[in-house]
Amino acid sequence: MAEHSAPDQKHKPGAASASSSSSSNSAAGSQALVNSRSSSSATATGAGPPTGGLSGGLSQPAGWQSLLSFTILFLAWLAGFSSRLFAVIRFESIIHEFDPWFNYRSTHHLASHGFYEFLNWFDERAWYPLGRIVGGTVYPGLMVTAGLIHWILNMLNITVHIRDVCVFLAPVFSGLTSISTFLLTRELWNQGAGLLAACFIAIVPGYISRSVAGSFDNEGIAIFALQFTYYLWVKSVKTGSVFWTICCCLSYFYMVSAWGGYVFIINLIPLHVFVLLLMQRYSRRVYIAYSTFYIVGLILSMQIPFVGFQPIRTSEHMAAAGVFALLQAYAFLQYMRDRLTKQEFQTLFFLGISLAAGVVFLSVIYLTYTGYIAPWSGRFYSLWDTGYAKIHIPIIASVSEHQPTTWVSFFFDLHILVCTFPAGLWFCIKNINDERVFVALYAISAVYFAGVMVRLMLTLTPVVCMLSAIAFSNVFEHYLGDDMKRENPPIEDSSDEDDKRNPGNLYDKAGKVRKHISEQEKTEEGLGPNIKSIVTMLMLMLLMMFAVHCTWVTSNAYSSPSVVLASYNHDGTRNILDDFREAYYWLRQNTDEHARVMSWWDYGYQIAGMANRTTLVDNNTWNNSHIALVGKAMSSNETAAYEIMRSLDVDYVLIIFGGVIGYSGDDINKFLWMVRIAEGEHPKDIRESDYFTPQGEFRVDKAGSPTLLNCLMYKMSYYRFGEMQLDFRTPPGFDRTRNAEIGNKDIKFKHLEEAFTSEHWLVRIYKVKKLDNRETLEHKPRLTNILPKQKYLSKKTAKRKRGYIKNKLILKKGKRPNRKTV
Amino acid sequence: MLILRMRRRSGPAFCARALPRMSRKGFSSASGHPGGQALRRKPGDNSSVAMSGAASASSASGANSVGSVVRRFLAEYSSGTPSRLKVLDAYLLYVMLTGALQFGYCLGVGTFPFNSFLSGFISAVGSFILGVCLRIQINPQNKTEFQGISPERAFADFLFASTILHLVVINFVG
Repeated sequence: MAEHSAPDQKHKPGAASASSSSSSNSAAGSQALVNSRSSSSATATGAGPPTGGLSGGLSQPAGWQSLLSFTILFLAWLAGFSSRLFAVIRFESIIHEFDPWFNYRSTHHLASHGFYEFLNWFDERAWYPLGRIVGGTVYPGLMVTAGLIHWILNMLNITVHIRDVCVFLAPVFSGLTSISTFLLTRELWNQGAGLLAACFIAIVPGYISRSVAGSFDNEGIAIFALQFTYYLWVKSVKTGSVFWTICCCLSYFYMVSAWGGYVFIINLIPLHVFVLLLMQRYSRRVYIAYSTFYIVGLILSMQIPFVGFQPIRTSEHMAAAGVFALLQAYAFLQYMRDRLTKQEFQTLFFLGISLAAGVVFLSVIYLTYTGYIAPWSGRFYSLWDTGYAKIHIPIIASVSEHQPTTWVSFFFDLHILVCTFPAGLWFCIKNINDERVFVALYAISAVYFAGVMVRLMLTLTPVVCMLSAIAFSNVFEHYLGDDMKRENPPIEDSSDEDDKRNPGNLYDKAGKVRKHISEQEKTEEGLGPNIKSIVTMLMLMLLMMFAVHCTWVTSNAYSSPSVVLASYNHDGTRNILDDFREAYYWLRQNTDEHARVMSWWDYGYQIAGMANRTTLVDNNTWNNSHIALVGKAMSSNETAAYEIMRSLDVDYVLIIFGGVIGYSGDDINKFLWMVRIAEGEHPKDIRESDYFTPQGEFRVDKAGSPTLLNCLMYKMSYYRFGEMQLDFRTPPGFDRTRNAEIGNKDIKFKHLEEAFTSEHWLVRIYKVKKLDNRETLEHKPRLTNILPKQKYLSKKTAKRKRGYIKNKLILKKGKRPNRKTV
Repeated sequence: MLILRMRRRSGPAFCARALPRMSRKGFSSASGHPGGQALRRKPGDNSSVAMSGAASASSASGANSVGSVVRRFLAEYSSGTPSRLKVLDAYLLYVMLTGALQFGYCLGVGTFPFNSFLSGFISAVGSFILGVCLRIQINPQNKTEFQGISPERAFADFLFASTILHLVVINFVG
């Protein structure tokens, strides 16, 4: 297959130069660039045959091919980079969303205080009063990468602010991702497919969603590390060289330092080895690759403080250890079998197998029993049992990206690729070899995980790109490149540079070539030029629609910073709603430096990052009971909440309220999760059913349950909202998000006071009052019928005595009581 | 164990007949390998014939037991392995014993500085694995499988990998 595309590649210069010229003059429209990119790579494969046959291609210098690949990869990088810039162009160079704010804050800390200070960083501004050991509870790869780039640039006297490095890190790494995808696909199939895959992954929305400029998150660099690790793994299985395996380990180390998804690698690679064993495809190369990878990768992964001893303690990593032991036993038996006769071998075999299996089994049971090996953590349970999180861990289920994926989002994120990748998978399985077993397993497991969780769509995207690229390149080979008769296979073999590099799989290639040629001769006879051109046109149409779709999705769905909102008027002009930053800046300027701000955990990182104030809970949801306490404060009535807030030393409460502008992601809509999480920890005080109407509805209007209408969150959201009439068509106090007139318009606070409300009421901040100096009596002063009989006499009167007795009997002499008057 | 015993009981009659044929078959297939293998097998042939004779002699009293198989294996090993590989095997044995010693120490005394124990043990296991990889790659028998890798390249890889491994180990010992 590789040799078929090789001549095609050599005829691309014309098309490539066209695409490069088009890219140079379309600086603004990255869409046009993307269009020309993917279509040029498609037409390039088609441009081959008319200009000359196979012999003509061979006579050209081989440099053309690599020049072309470089150009295409460079353009893919450029297209991927520029299509991620929508957010920067429309808004500004700003960090997006929630988690990136923490990453930015810690990167800033790293850049200003140095690496060791960062590793030892104890953040007393988060999780008040507990604090957080940031250095030990974070995957430092992202921060170190950004810090390193910043440091290097400053060394070269290019003074860049650390924020700009953070904003543009993900787009730059997307280019590296497309290069490593190219390398991996080239190892799996051929160069043409690799180039297509690189183009796909540069613009596919499933990956863009996590790597737009400003989304400074772990996934942005982790996908690169993932693909590169897989490439090196495939390479080391192919060559059996220790060097490549060590490179694979180092790349794996980078992946471990960057993202918790490294568990995917450490389970997929053993699975690959295990399946190879089952398929009788064991070879010494597999042994070398896996044993070295496991043992060096193990100790490398334990260098990350956050991972610690997990690789030998938790069940997620046990599969890898088991396969390692199995492979050792298998290799030893293989060695013995080479040495011994069959009969003798059998004697030893049963002894060895039964002993080894027994020892491994007993030791695993013993270790689990004594607690050395931790059982599966909740997040992993929820991968197998999709209902698990909903019942046991509401905090995981409450995150929207942990929900199961809908069919729509598959199409939305992958478009045509989701339809073509099964074809690529089929091609791979049909011409199976060691590394295609790997990609098949990768595809199957990634599809499963993507179906379970929306956020794991990210791991599916690269494999879908690779397999679709294989499918497309296969189709183009059939329908574009076969006008000339293919002649003498020996020449083709010698032209295959892959074979020269990896002599290990000579056998596979040879078998594949033979099959392919015969099959092609069969199909070629029935196809006229009309059918070929129709199919080609269809494919090109699909690719163009894919590019258009990608650009549209990127610009509409994935390029909003969510810190700054934009709304559009009827005439198309744009309003920027900058309430979040307004409120955070207010906090920063007007509150005490050590003020403690209570909010729901979503906004913890933003408050810490933008307002620089102490928070109680944040997006690193490591302490469920603390979050439940905040949830309880939000969902109980004011007096009970005040006690909780007093005990937590809260100074300010910050909530998000979208009722004025119709922003749906506000705290009232998240409120049920607060109730649920609080109920999980305090089932006696909070019951979810109290917040529903008797009909089981969640309503904020008059029909809503009284518990809801009097809880703290409701009161804070709608305080003085009843006085506000937004529209002449609606009554005062009409909530636009929930389309209802609120039920409790007369809200009074006793322990709180409104401190700040942003322009569009999006953020409301309340100050928690201190305890009164003197407690006011809750009842009237007691009334008695004992009246004070004597007026108070000041001691400072003129007749100063040495003391006197109050109510002293005074005898008035010389006067008899008048009986008559009595 | 049960299987083994059964096999042993039913063994003799079967084995006494089967062994000579089987072993001859095994050698003929082994000599089918290309290159230096047939050459290397030559001296081994003698001893193994002698061994199989011994085995058939002892088969009257429960032949083909584990002991005899091991003895035959050792004899063939000592005759049929290049001396370079034997040196490597000695190194492997040494590393393995080091690892076993550490493991025994940990069982007896405890794993208190857990990272130190781990790094020591993983260093032993890692060195063993890298040694085995080197052994596989320079074994002339496996030449067909590793055509791009010369013994010199294999040794360089070994050094590179060991350097990385031990840098990490030193970092982890604490």
